[in-house]
Amino acid sequence: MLFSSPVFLFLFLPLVLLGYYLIRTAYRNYFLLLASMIFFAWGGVSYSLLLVASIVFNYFTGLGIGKSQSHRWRKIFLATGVALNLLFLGTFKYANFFIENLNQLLGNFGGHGFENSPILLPIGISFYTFQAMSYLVDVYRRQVPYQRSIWNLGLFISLFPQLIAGPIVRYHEIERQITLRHSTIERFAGGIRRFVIGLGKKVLIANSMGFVADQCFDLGAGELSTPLAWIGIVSYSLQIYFDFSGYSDMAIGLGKMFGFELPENFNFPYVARSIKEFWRRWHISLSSWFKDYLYIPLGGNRLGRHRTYVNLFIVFFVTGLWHGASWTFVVWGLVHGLFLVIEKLTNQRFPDRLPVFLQHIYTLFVVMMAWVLFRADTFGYAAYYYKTLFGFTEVATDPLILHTLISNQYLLFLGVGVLASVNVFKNATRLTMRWPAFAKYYNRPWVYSALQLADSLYLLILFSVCTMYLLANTYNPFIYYRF
Amino acid sequence: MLMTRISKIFSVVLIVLFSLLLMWPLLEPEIKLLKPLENTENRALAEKPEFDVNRLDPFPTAYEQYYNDHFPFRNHLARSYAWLDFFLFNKNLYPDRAIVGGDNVLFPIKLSLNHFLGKDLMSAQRLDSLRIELERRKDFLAVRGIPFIIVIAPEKFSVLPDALPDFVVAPDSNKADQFARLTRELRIPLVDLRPYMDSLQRTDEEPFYYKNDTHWNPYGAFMAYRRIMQAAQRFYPQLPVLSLDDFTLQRNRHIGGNMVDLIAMTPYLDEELTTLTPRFKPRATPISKSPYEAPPFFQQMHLFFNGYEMASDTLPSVMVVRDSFTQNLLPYMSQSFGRSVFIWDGWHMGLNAPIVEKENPDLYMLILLESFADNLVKYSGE
Repeated sequence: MLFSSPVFLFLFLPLVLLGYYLIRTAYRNYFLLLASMIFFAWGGVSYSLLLVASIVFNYFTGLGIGKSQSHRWRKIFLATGVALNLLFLGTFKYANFFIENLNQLLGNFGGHGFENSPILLPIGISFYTFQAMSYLVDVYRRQVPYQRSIWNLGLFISLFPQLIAGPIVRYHEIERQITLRHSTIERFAGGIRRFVIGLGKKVLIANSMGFVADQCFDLGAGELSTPLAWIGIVSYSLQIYFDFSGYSDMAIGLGKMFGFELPENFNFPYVARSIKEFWRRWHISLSSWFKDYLYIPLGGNRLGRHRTYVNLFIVFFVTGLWHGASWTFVVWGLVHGLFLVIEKLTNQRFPDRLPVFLQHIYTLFVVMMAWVLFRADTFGYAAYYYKTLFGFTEVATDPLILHTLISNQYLLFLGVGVLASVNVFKNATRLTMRWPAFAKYYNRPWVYSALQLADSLYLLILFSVCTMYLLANTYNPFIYYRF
Repeated sequence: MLMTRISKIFSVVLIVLFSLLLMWPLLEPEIKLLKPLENTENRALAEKPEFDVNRLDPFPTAYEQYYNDHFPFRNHLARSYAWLDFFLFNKNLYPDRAIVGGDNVLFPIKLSLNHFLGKDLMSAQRLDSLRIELERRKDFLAVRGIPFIIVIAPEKFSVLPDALPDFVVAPDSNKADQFARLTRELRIPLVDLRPYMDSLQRTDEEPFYYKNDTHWNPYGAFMAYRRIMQAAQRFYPQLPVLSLDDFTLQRNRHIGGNMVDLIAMTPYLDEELTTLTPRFKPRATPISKSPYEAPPFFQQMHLFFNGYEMASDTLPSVMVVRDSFTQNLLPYMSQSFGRSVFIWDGWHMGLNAPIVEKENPDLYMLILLESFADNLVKYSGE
């Protein structure tokens, strides 16, 4: 079930909110767990058994780590837990990829391949497996006590707001909130605000950009011209940011509605002036997960320069693989790793010594070029796309394709998207508040009330417009059937 | 303190209004705040799936389709969205479905545009198959002494090229041209209405096509009828042909059309339409019950068969294999033949040999839309 689907917005969410606030506080976690299970089962009923298995297995492993007095046994429990979680993830996410590559290798040596029957990827498996591993590691590190209640651990692993698209919540960040959290009017209203803005990002901007990006990336040889390739990659860069950060906003907003404070996941990554800074702003919960649970355990930057570079490459190799079981994702991760290493090799003198606007251009250029790998299905197509981007193919732009893609609506959302992605709206609000002439009036009750009213109306209208866009997309008439 | 209170009050307002918005679709079937709007999609909406514990996996997807299709204000929202896009952004909501031409004339993109731009030319193999099929039909009818006429009905693109945006430029040849060439080579009488209606439209102030529909309007259909009857009179000069004087022409506002439905603009875009009301008492009356069974792939009996008969059956009979374009021809053609039978076989454009055998008509016509020119072989497996 997607947050941006009518069935979630107008059936699941109101019923869960109603149930949650009608029942006694003591039963709320059970109710939320049940709701999360239904939410998960909606994406594949059979696969919800996997989630249950993951909860049970990690609960007992955590119990083993937490109760063992000997360091050796704690280590054995942790190693077993992490290994089995990875095996679990590997089986469902990477088995096909592994067999495919193995068969290719065997084929090269004249051997017979293994049968590769496709395994469907259960939704959210990368997110909840990482959360479960964070629980085991946090308990092992004694940062938190082990969870005595399987229901509470189940809620941590399966909490529906962040189950399918993050942010990846680490156990020590949320442990207290599971048993003790407060729902206040301000927090609930803040949750609505955040949720609606996230929905707007996803439905209005990401979907509009996505329509154009999909069309451009689906164009075959002979149709994709240089201008269309640039339109495609710019649209895709905005789509992926607003899609992902929109989901994170919705997750954080939903969390607030149920009294949780989930961690931030994005901080205007496209204003970054280096790849290093980009990764401090992009998918923050994943970057910090890898930092805490992979980079630092590998030795981080404590084992000398060369080992640091190797560690960085390992982290970015895994980051790429985490995003998808394909070599294009791996190379996408490695490209980021490479530029991070280049920046480190120069002690950040590159790009820091460049003029600021060149730092922005450098970062955006690397990020956007890497998105081609992320979006293309094969290296062959990526190579063709790069060639087209830089004018090495001679294809004229089909005016009909341009007509289909570029509408006033697209241009409007493109403009809003560009401005929003570089923090213009928030900065403008902040500057306005600081403006002495405005500040003088802002504190007057009627001005403050009018602004609060305008804010509420804006959110309600935005929500209604998003609903309109969502439902309009289900309108699908059959043309040749007039009579 | 006061600001905190104000902030709290507006937080409560936001929570209450947001909750009401969330709950509205759940409550709408009971409270009925909005008057339901007619669905204009012309497709069967998804049905509520049965909950079966043994088949849980497909249930969510099926239920979601059902929920989306039956969402209480779905039609209101779709139309509001289309209106917003059309009038605010000066663009139709579905640029992949329709082109908005001059004077807001709507042109279809699916199938038709590719054809008009010559992007779906028939391969040599398909042309060979088509030649064989046309020869087969010609021989089949010739053996029975039934004259055979093929009529190409023009797409809107071909008759109103001036209303098209500049980027839609017709190539030298398209699929219908290939079809026309082949038909002429085989010496099958052909009425290619494309150049005829194109040139006629340039001198006639009355539009031949709906602005908001893919089809020709009653006036345009009448012009087509006159040209078709000229061809029929070559075989049967005694066939009567109606003239405009036989009708009263009236201008009305017309709402609807498959193109406005397609872009969800049904209530917002209307057009002026000239209707033809007969001054005469119709001689032919409809045959109420079809003597033939509709094929399994097209079970719309009211579309599959339309027949008309005159009481004094002295005029020749005709059998027409057709599609939706012929619908507006029925009131005219039926008055020119003693018995007229119209078969719509779900765009297969088959010969319909058993019906030919049974009807044994004096004239056999195939009226096909130009973009469906290869349908004769498309469904026969070549």
